[in-house]
Amino acid sequence: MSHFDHVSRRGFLRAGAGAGLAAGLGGLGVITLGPVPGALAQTGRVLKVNTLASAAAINVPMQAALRSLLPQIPGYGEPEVRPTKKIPQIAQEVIAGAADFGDADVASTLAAAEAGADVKIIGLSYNNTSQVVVSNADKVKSLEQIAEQGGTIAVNSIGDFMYVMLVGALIKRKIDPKKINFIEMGSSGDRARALIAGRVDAVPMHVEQAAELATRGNYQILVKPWQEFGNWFSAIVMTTAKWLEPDENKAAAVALLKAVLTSFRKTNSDYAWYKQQVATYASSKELKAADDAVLKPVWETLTKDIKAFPNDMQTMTADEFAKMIPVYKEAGALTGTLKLENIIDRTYVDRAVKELA
Amino acid sequence: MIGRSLPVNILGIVLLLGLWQLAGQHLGDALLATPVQAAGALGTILVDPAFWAALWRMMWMMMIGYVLALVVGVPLGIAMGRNAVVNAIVKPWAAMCIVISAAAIVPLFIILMGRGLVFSTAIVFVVTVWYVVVSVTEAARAVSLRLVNVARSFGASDVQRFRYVILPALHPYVMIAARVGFVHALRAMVTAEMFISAGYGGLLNDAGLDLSTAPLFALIVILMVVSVSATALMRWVAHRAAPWYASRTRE
Amino acid sequence: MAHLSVKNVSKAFGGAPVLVDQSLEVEEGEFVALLGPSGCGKSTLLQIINGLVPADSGTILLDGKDITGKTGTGRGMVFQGADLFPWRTALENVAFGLEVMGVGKAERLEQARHYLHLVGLGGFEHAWPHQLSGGMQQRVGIARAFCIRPSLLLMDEPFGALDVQTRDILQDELVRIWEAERKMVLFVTHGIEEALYLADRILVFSKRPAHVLREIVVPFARPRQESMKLDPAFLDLRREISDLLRHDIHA
Repeated sequence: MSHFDHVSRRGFLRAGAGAGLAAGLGGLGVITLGPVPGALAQTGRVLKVNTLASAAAINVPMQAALRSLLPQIPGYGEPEVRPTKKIPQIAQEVIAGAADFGDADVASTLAAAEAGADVKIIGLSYNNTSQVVVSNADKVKSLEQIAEQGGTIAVNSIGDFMYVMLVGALIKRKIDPKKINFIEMGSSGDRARALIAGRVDAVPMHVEQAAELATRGNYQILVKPWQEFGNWFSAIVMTTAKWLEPDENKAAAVALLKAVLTSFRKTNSDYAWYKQQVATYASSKELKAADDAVLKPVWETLTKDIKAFPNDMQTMTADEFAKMIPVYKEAGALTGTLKLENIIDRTYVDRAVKELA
Repeated sequence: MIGRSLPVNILGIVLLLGLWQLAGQHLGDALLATPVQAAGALGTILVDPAFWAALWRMMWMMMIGYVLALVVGVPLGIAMGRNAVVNAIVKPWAAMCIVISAAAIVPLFIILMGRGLVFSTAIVFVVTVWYVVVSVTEAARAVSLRLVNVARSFGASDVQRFRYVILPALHPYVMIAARVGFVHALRAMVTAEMFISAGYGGLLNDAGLDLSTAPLFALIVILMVVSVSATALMRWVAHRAAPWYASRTRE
Repeated sequence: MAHLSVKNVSKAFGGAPVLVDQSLEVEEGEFVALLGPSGCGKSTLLQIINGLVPADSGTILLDGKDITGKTGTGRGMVFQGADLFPWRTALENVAFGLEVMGVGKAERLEQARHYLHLVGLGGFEHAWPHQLSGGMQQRVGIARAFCIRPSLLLMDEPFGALDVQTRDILQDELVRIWEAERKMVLFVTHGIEEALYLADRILVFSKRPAHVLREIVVPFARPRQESMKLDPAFLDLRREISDLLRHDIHA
């Protein structure tokens, strides 16, 4: 009768209550004190920056700028980089005042501006986009064919920059976008899997993922945004006009952009440095471990074809952005009433460029 | 009884792994990595210090929210089960809040609380506490009136009836609520971490980017092992602490 | 000298009278059976005397003290289904009343062990209630009531849920224990034979609202023997009570 040598129930309860109380108090202590070791390690201002949850090859220079270059600028500690899975939430939090900067997407930022938010686009997270639309060439070879079959394309979220780009590409080809079913699928890994499984006919993914996928079957690129539209802006650095009012915040914006510009320049000039940053900051294990045979062509595509890291962010002008607006209007993502020159503000980029010279 | 079911359990697991292996070989590792591939990825993950850091981050933050949910939920549940006024005040909220899924409130909580300890703790607490409250309430309401009357007939005061009858009668049910609550807390924590791509949820996100599903399955298997061993440990503790209940339910 | 005096007790449930102006007296060492059809209100009377149910009017005096509406103090109750605490061992169940009274652990366990032996359960101190048969559970229930050394023992159809053989054995056990420790007993039953076999005096109750149809002083000498159930006088009394009850029901 082994259950006779039991722990006394009350003894057990006492022990449990004690442990619970201790854990609870310990927890409260941590809550009120905050993450102590982190706070002590920082010297200088800690900026809060919302970024995408996952870092692809094109996101790596921005990540390197935030995590390793910005802390080297006097007066700034390592920023609180806050990965965010839902893309629209990146801008939402900045507008709500919960974050200082957003590494946000153009579509949700401009949509927020149209809705009346006082957002400012002060820099580029990268220029253009590295995402391409891929299909299984054994099944479909063109957007026309997908439309004829009433096929399906998975995008991250309907209304985002890739969705708008696709709708623009369809309209350019005189295809009615309504003939294609767009569905939402969060991660580019999941989208690639849906394509492999034959559940969808085409999906956007980063060029390095397209290269990897091509080794597994007859997967081909249907649309390269930069060939369709020249420069297809996708991710930008944004904040609010109100946040930018104090001088110390203006200085912080310049410091942040100095770090980003430095990272852009290093990426362009130094493949070895870029490779090292990829190994450190890329999200995917496969990308982190990529060898030169994979990574070098990716780097060349990014720096030369896509021109993703302009040394002075010189493409960031209201005029360049204005070229996209008609596509956004046609896709129904924007009404087109925005005054872009009020939103796109080169002041801080220009100051950063000057200070770096 | 354990002796009889163990071989059957093992047989079931082996059969399932065999099916999984066959299906994985057929579909390819981008859609369904085989158990062999997942085991390989598991080996790589287990020697990665970043994995242990992520697991540790998830567990300690979750435990704070979980313990707070028990510390608040158990007394509140008892009060609701034994007191009509408390029940009338809290029950509508409990009934409404218990359906809240972590995924629904995470975006709002990120904006309200950022993404530190307060955020994680709050998500775990909000998702877990109502489950604990509702199950303890049901248990407290179901405490046998006859046994309470036995205590009364022996002249037991309110405090004595609470201590000698209601608490021990609830004990096994509190242990069950704690056990199931743990699973709720773990799920909420993983969901919260996936949104902010931190800790274990961040690892799951990153693994989802790889074309091979082997690392993802390995991480999911580890999560299952954590959950199953924690609940097994709690069941063992419950059986040691409430042997009358354990030996009665075994029969 | 111990004495129970119930004066003019009335009780109605939801406007329907259950007891109307009932009085009864029990003398020291007297075993009184309350006999009547099921649901007539005799159990309610017992619970009013015990203090579990408040009376609408009337008073209960035990040894001259007004105990109306109070539980505890001098009364030990044996319940129909034994109603042991499942989380207490047999020994801890017997010691319950003393624990409520604040008796120290060593002292109350020694007392409890004594009464557990008295009901024939030596060696079952550490058994859980669910491991005991129905008859053994009721022995523990009787020991629990005796353990507080009450001057009045209240028994609410204690053998009603047992099979015939077990009931016969327990009746003999009860008589044996009671004769060793004579105290006032109020024994509610609907078994005529049981009442005749155990009691000094039987109050035969009518159907609801209950009132005493007849008071019968049982003329048999103690110690009672099983053979008396075949005595012509026993059989006559039994038939008389049976007719009385049947007549009342059809009246």
